[in-house]
Formats: sequence, C-alpha cells, structure tokens
Amino acid sequence: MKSLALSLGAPFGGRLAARLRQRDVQVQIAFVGLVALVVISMIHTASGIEGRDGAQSGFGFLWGRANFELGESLIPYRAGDTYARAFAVGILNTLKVAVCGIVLSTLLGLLIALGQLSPSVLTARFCRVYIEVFRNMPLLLQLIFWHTFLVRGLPVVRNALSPLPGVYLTNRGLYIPAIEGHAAYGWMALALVAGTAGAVMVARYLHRHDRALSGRLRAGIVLAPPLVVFLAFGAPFTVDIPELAGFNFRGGWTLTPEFAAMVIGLTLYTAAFNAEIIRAGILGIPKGQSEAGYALGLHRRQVMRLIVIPQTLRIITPPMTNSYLNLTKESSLAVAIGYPEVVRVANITLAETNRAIECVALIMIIYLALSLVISALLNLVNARAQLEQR
Amino acid sequence: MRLRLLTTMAAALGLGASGAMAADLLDEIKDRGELSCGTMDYLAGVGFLDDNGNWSGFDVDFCKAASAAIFGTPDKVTFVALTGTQMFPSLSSGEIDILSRSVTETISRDTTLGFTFIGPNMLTGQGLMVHKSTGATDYDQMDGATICVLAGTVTERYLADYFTANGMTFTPVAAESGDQLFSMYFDNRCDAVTMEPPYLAIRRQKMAATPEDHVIFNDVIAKSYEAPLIREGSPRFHKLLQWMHYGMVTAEELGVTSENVDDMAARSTDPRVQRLLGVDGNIGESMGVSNDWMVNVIKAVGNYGEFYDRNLGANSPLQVPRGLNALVRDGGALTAPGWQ
Repeated sequence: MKSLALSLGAPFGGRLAARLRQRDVQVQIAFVGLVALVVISMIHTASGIEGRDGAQSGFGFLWGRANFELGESLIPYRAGDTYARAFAVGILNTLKVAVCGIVLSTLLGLLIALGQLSPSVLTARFCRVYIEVFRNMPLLLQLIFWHTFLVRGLPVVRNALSPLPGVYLTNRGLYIPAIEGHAAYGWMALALVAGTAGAVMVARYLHRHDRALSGRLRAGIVLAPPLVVFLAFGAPFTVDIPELAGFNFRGGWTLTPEFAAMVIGLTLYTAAFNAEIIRAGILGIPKGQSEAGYALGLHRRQVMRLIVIPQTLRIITPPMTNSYLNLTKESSLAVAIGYPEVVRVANITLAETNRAIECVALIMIIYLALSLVISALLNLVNARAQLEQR
Repeated sequence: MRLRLLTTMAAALGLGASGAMAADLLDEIKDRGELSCGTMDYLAGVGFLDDNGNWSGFDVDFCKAASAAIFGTPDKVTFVALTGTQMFPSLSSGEIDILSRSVTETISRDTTLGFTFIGPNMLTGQGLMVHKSTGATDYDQMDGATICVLAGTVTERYLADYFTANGMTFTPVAAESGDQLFSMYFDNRCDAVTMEPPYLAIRRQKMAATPEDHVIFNDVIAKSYEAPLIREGSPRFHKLLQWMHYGMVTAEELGVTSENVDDMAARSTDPRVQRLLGVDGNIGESMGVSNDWMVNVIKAVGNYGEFYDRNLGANSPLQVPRGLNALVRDGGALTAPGWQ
C-alpha cells in the first residue's frame, strides 16, 4: 500500500528519498562519484604538468593552422587549413571505410552463411574453412598483408595495367574516369530526397484507401524531380578521364591501396563473424516455417528469401549491431598502413601540438558518437523488425 | 580506521609529489641510480637494438655519455624505444628523462611544449631521395609527386610548408615506422621519400637492391638542428648535459681522445686540458657530479669527432661525411663556449 502511494501520489522529494534507500542505487551513485573523483584528479594532475599552463589547455588549438597534408579527403583540404577541418577529413575517411566495410561484410557474411547451410558439402566446407581462417588471424596482420600485397603485387605507374580505356590499375591505386562535379548535382540529390519523400507520402495515402502504388509509378515519382533538375541545368555531364601527367595519373577518381587494403581487410575479417551471426539467426528460425514454405511449393531459394531471412532479422540485429560497432572501432588500425582516418589525424595533431589529453579525448568522443549513432540506427531497425504483439 | 589509512596515504602521496617537484631531476636520477632514455631502435648508426639486446648509435651514445657523466659508468641507462608519435607524451609524462631521438629543434617545440633542447648536437637538413627513373634532379620538378613521410615528425610539416611556399602540391603517404616508410618507397608506392640526408644515405646503402637507382638531392629544404631534449624545470640537469656536449667538442679541439684521456689527465700541463678534465678547479663538484666527469665521458664515448665517426662517419660502414658537424677550424659549424 505504501509503495503504491509512493509511486503514484507522493511528492517528488519523497519518491527520491525512497529511491535513495535502495541498495543498488546507492552502489551506482557511489560508483559514479568514484569515477568523477578519478577524472577530476586526472584533470588536476594534467594541469599541473610542467610547461602546461591554463592558457594552453582546452580545444582552442583546433582553430590553429594544421601544416600537414593528408593523402586523401572527401572534402577540400590542404595544408594550412584548420586542425578542425583536418579532423573533419579524418572523420569522413573513417566513415567512408566503415560504411563500405559494413555493407560489404554484411553481403559477404550472408553469402558465407548461406554457403555453410548449403546441401553441397564442398561449399559448406569451404565456407567453414574461410570462417576459421579469417576469424582467427589478427586483423592488424591481415591489414598489413593486404597493403603489402597491393603495393608489391600491382605494377608501377609507368607499367600500369589498363583493362579498359581510361581505367588504370597501379600500386598507387586504381584510377577510373569520374563525372566532373557540378552545382546541379547537389540540387539533384535534394530533388531525389524530395521525390522519395513524395513517393512515401503517396504510398501512405493510397494504403489508407486500400490501394497499392505500382512499382513503375513509384520509380517515376522518385526519379522525376532529379531528372527535371538535371535538364533544367542544361544536362551538365563531363567525364574526367585520368591521364598520366608527370609522376602520377591525374584526374578521374582514385581508389588508393591504403583505402582498398582497409576495406578488403575489414570486410574479410568481419564477414567471418557476420556469417556466424547470420547462420545462427537462420538456424534459430523454427523448422516448421521452412517446411510450411516447401509445402506451399516454394523453392529453397524462395523459402530463404521470403520466409526465413526476413524473420532472421529479428534475431540477428542486436549481435550485428555489435559487429558493426567493432568494425567501426577497428578501422582505427588504419594507422598501421597510413590511411588518413581520424586516429592518424589525431596522432599528427598530437605530434605537432603536444595536446595529448585533448587529442585522446577527441578520439574518444568521436568514436563514442559514431558508436551511439550506429547503435541508435540499428535499434530503430530492431524495433521495426520485432514481432508485433498485441 | 580505513578512512584514516586513506588520508595518510593521500597525504604521503601529496608530500612525495611536491618533494619531487622541488628537487632537480639530476638529484632524482642520482637517487634512482639509473637514467631513462627514450630513443629509436631501428636505425643503424643512430639508434639501434641488435639481436643480442645491445644498443648502439649516435643518439644512444649521448645517453651513455650522460650516464658516464653522472655515475662514472656508461651502462646505467634504461633505453626505451619510441615511435615519432610516442616520443613527446613519453617525455612529458616522465617515463623518460632524456629524449635522444634525432628530434629537430624548433621554436614552438622549445617554447610551448614545456621542453628544453640540449645542443644541437647534429646539424643537418631535410632532404629527398627519389627514384632515378623519375628523372627528377631538383625540388622544383616534384610538383604532383607522391611522397612517403614518417608519421608525426616535423618532416611532414616542413615538406608541406615547402610545397605551399612554392605553389606546388604533393600527396603524402604516411608510415608509422622507418622500416615501413622505406619499404613503401622501395616498392615504388611513392616517387620520393623525405628525411635527413644522412639517414636517407643509410637506408639506401642497407635496403636498396641497386643503390645507384636512387638519387638524394644535394640541397635541403629545411635546416634541421637535431638535439636531445628534457622536460623544463631542471636547470642543473640541463646545464650538465649541455656542458657535456660542449666538453666533447672542446676535447676534440684540444686533441683529447678516449685513448689518451688518462694520460692527458695525469701529464698534460695545458691549463685548458687540466680544467676540462677536472685536474684543476672544482667545476664538476659545483655542478653536482665528480670533478673528473669529463674523463668518464670521454672514456665512454670519446670526443665529438670519435663519437661521430664511430657511429655515422669514417669509422662506421655508413660513411656519412661530417659536413656541418666538423669543427669550425675544419670548415664545419661546430664550436663550443670557453671552458673557463
């Protein structure tokens, strides 16, 4: 009776007092207090280090000029820009590797998982061996192996392989023609977002009136706005073909061996873990589900695609979240092969400014933020995939 | 009860910390009985750890000399191998007493990081080595080149400065270790590799299949005053190391070598030699070491000329010319204030 009163009607102070009497709450408060104490004493110690006065600490250095170049960048960056911009370049490079790695390792993991469950003994064995080999080798070793393999195994610039005109493969990277940037493309991307939103709204409206939107019409609604924008700008379309100029190929789009080694290494390594997660998910679906599918006359492939895999999502989303988080964090091993991601930027900044505490704190904040965003996104997926129970 | 124990411990820690702050690092090292020296372990002639666990090289010998100056024997040093990105945090955290790792002295490093440089004890510059097949012979032909750099070193910054100042661009490829740096360069991942010319020459000699396929540019794009460094706030330790370097230069000027130092100490009538070797006066004791400290240093590593030639120069397989590191009277830039 008393507890009911507390939880319903008692004033806030009373409820708080009751909460504080609980033993686990006391332990938690004590723990938080202890952590706070350690952090405060660390800050105190750090500020007492000789030569570090108050004016020198803090994140103000981020607006200073960063006099170093970074090998590759998604946004314009040159030596002399701010440290903050260099960090942005690093974060984007980390994201680039993480996104590519997540997509590719999921696809490859799915293939390997299906291969393991395949009736063909040879395929199943091969997939098992793949998993054991890649899962049990240190990732750092794999990254260095791929980087060395790409740098040593591919021809030098002057002997570039050219499988197609305008495409060159060298140990400095893969050079392919690129579409030259134009202001229209930004607007086209916006128009594409608008078109997608429009299609979703139309589909919802029709759904409410018990009608479905046909695939062709949906594609039309999505693609029409960007097409209109493209034509309105006079259809700007120039292809930039890489050419050998001086030392290297210039122009076009470049895939560096550092980036390639990162994506290959992270993909192959993480795919082994993902395959095990997906396999467990598939095996976790009751046999009756696929038997029912076969009874309806569906093929093995159809049963997988239409019945088993959609239900698997429900089981595998939480462990896959973990796997994606690991992949993102492990991208920091890129330091070993010189791919300019955020840890490399932090390391150079540290060497230039000796702001060890600030730089390490920045790395921690950045990875924490990335991890929280990834897990938030996958929690959304998870919430949607769960069985609706009433 | 437990609380009282904790307070006592905290008080003791506080006292200990403030005590250490007040005393000079020199006394702390003498009490500890050992010197901790950060260096590199992969570059023969500079800092190298061989298969038997023996340390050798120019930067290593500086710490051995410091040990000889303080303890009378060169072997009271613990060496810590450091990468470019670890070196400053290791020094500022107190893990090492001396950072002797071919660090380039710059104004910002000297004045804003809380460090003090000793020296310079090596005068060089930043150079480039390119593949001969590129046909490049000078810096102005390097526009658009891919250049291998050692991550976290000042060479990265100087290179960017040079290219910006001359309106050129380059693509850096960063390596975490010297071995990786040069293996990428020799695998043709980069058109060029940047470092101080003596180190480029060492690597070319050791790693290139055909050394003559690689060109080291004659000019340097930046001066590089290399010097060991320590944390700020230990003036006596600083002065000791600084005068140890000057003493080695003075010994070369006066012709005192590791061979004849005992003899000179016993017999020389030259007052300059007598003061240097502590036969006359008590300079050493007033600095906090024994009066014959320079005798110990010279016995351990020799005068500056011997020190250079054994590690890098004429008496080493590397044969790096002394250049600016010769005495002024021999056409170099090396000199020392008077030992009066």
